[in-house]
Amino acid sequence: MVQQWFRDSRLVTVVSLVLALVFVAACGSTAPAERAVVEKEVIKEVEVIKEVPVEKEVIKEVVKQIVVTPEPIATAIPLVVAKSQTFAFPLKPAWVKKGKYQNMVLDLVQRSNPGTWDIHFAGNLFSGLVPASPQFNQLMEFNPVATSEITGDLARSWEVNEDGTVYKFRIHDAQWSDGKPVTAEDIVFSFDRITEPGAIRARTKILSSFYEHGTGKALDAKTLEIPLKFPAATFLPNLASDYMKMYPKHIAEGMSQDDANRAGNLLGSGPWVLKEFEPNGFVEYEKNPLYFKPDRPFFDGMRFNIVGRNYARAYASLEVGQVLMTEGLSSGYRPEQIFALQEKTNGRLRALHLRGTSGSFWILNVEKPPLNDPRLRRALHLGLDRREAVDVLYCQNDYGECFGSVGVFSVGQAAGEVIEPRDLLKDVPGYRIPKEQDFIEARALMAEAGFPDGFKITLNMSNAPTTVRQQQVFAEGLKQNLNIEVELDAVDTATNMARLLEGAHDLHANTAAFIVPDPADNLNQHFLKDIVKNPQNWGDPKVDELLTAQEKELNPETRLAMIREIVDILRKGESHLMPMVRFDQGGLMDYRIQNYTVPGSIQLIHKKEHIWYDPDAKCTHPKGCQ
Amino acid sequence: MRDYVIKRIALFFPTLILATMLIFALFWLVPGDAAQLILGGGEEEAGQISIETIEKLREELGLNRPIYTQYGSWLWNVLQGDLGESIWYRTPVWDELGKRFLVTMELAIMAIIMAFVVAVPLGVIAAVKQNTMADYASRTIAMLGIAMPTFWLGLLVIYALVFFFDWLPPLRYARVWDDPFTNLQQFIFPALTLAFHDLAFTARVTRSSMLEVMREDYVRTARAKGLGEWVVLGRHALKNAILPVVTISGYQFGRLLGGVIIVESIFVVPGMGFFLIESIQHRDFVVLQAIVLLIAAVVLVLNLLIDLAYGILDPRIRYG
Repeated sequence: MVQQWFRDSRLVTVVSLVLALVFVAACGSTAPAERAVVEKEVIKEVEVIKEVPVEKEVIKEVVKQIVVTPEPIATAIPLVVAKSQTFAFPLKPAWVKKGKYQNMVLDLVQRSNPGTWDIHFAGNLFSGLVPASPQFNQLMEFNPVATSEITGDLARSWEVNEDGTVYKFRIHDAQWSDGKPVTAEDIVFSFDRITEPGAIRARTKILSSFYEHGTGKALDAKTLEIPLKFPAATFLPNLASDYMKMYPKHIAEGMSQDDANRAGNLLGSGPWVLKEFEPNGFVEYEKNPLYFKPDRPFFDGMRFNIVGRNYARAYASLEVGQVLMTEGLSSGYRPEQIFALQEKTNGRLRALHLRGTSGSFWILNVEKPPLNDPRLRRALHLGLDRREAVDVLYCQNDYGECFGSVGVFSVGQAAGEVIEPRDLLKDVPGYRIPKEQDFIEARALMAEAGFPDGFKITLNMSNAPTTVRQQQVFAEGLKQNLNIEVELDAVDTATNMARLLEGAHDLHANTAAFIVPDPADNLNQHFLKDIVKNPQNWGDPKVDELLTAQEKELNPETRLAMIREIVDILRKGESHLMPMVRFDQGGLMDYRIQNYTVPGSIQLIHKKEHIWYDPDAKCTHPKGCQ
Repeated sequence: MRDYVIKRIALFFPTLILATMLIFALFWLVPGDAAQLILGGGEEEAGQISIETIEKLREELGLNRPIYTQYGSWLWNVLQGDLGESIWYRTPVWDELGKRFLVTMELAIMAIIMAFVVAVPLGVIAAVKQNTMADYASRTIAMLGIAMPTFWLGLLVIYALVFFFDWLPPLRYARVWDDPFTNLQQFIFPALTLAFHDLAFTARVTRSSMLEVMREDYVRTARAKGLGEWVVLGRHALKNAILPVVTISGYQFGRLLGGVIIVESIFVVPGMGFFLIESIQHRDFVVLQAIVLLIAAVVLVLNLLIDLAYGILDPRIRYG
């Protein structure tokens, strides 16, 4: 009975919406209602679940352990901002008082070897951003304790002019770790370094869409002005991304890219200072004694212990307490496994559960037969039984919930749209319930294209176990339903990506996570031209036009309508991108680590300055956490 | 003897060059390169990485040059004593290899000593007590060791350590001269895992060799002279039976260096094996080539030493 109520997502959604409205009102948010509701949906969803008197012990535990209710910060900026607004950010948020300093080093498990230490340059999450980030600050950041909000990092206040084209930032009295003061000149320099023409800027290049290199100005030592090319809806979210680090001009100016990529050459103003990096060994940080945020970080040091792509050892090290947490969240830490380990350790390890903000996709070769025929692409789209796949892949577990969902290409916020009613798209071709009509139309399209008895294609994919398992299910479904034979070709990541770029694929399986929680982020990753995930430059005039226009649209409702229109076009299933499913990700940490909030995306990693270890932390697990 | 050694050393260099050439060619047959991995775009990666950016980095790293130019320039640098700079880490390969070589050698030597110390007595007992329980037990252990893949055994060992002792070897590597106890904790289980296969193989060879020697006339004569059984076995039988064991030890050491790659990755030992696996995943051919070069050199030197040891162990063998 309770389970049924728990699963009745319609009811949950209604309650969520009501609570979200109350929440927004309480926070005094200036965000337009519709966007704000979507934005808060996940948080409230969780709160509702928390109050449910769950019968099954394991579910109750999962809920208790994973939920960390964010503390609302009245001064944080909602994701979409209006013009002529000013925000000021406290240097010492309320939660800092609760923090407990520990004379200890925080040990984490790290699966990748850091390669490139210049975050402006690098494009890797686990081998770039995660290990290198702790020594730097951004100008703005996603609030580490209320991760759907943007707050100041180096910025103490922020304002925008009437037409939304000039931003003025005031910065805190901070120091670089060599003792020199952080100045507005440094920040302007960082903007220009990120947008330097001709430089390789894998993840940060997006800033060039908004900011023209060389146009920023330092007004005085602590104030700077950043003009934009146009009033941009996603300027602030992108600026708050963890990749947008601020570097000291006196160190980084004139440093060659090669030197910047080497460990230890760049320094920051962040909570940690790089002490030592041993490839295949560890990355060790010590507390920055000059850090400008009072009472932070709460540990003396932090050590990423590199275990390579060795999940067995990662789990084992967590289980015996050699490390206190995973380096971040990843789909490699599967929900079933993290919850199992939580149970096995009697709750000493807490499962960190991030609901489906990553999606899996097929990238279709639109220039190579047979999928150069849009009718066959649509037939594939119609023939995929995503709901069944979700049932098989993500719902067969002991935890009474699904760790994946059908909802890709939804239009809301990255996380807010995930927990959608199962039948939300039940009338949309490709997602219909029952599925038979989709199959009938798919067969008709195949016959029209000259393949009435099915066809054979190869799917290039990574050999990661989670990917292989997922793709096997999709391939089997297509074989059974439409007699389309999908030959699986599992190879290592580098080979898989090389085949995609060479255009050697029929189908290519890929996944994507959000860098910033905005629907345009996902669309930009796949539908811009000359990018890895659109190797044949598929385009649709209307999609291209709307994609450009939404970037400049500041009215959230109009912008949302534009994105809806794009999604409606894409849901016809004729593009190069075939959305499959969303899936959940996980991580683990010791229950004594406090103040951690599961972020809205695995790409929001924060600097671990806000978490602390409390040896007297209350164990909420019925088995006592020992 | 001197001519023989000079001839063998002269053959070193073409062999090494051939080995690196082969690895280089095989490596370039495999799709994917470091530029693409450095800039992301892999599994679970987001972002709008442009094809142009990847091409630009390829050019900067020299990865778009023809394969023979890349190999030629690498070889030219190596001949001048420069192993180059890792594409992934941007650090000199010599520095990285220096540290890792000692780690791997420590692990390999520990494993071979363990294998030898256990395998020879086990083989002798099996031969002396042929078709008894001791023999069957020894053969069972040997069969198990040969049949069980090292990676599987490694995982079982980790599982057993966690399950029974709630303990694992420390993660942070400690050098033997800095902290011998921690070093021993880190190396004992990977070394045992590595040694198990070699132990099994060596024990089987020792047993067969002992059985053959024990049927020889001189062993019968030694017994007829009234020598004690231990003297017969130790001085007459084992001394002669050990020659094939020494031969295979050389081979085993080379094989062991292969096994080290897996075991180091499983037990997170920061040696050359772990480094090699990562360099393949990162498509870091500079590191890969250097490791291959080093392993090939070690194996060649070892084989030469084994060949020379024959002359000492068996005076009938002379090199011309």
